[in-house]
Amino acid sequence: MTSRLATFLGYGTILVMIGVWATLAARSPRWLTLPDAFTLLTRSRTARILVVLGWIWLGWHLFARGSGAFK
Amino acid sequence: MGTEEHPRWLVALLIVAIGVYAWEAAGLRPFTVGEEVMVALPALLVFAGACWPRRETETPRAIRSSRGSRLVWLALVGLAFAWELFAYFSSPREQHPTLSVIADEVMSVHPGRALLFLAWLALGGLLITRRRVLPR
Repeated sequence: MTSRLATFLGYGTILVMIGVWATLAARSPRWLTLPDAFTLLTRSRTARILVVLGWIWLGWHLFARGSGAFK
Repeated sequence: MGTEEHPRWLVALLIVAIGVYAWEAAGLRPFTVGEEVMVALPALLVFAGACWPRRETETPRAIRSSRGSRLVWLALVGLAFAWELFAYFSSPREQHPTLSVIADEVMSVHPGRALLFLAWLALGGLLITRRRVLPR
């Protein structure tokens, strides 16, 4: 197995774990769902604005500035 | 999305419109005025939505959610962050791609770029449409 494949498998495994946990959490009334986690994260206006600014930065660098923006 | 307040056809129309918007935005090149406008428009809308004062209501599930389930989310975020750091500090980059390198590869084709743009729009919508605020 190459390092590249192992790295992709790592990301894939984490993504699957998030998906499985999100599904399980949605079925239990006592577990925090993904949308509710966002609600918790952005419950104050200041926190919400900070998170949105991060989201804007991400979109600007990914799409308006394009490939290699993070390098 | 408020299916109780809006008819289904309107919601479907909105989803299609957002999909078309993402596809068109994905067709534009970085460092062009067109692409900057396509990114700036939803950015301004979401920012305005985040600043807008809102009526506080409760989120019963979030209030009752167990501490353990919150810790699981934190652990998953921490794991993703750790894996990204591991890839970032490993070399060569070709063998240890970071999320941004993977994003670049996905965005090298139009459908991949459109899909990521759509995901970005969806995340922005999620940030401002979950209106329920927890009591302090």
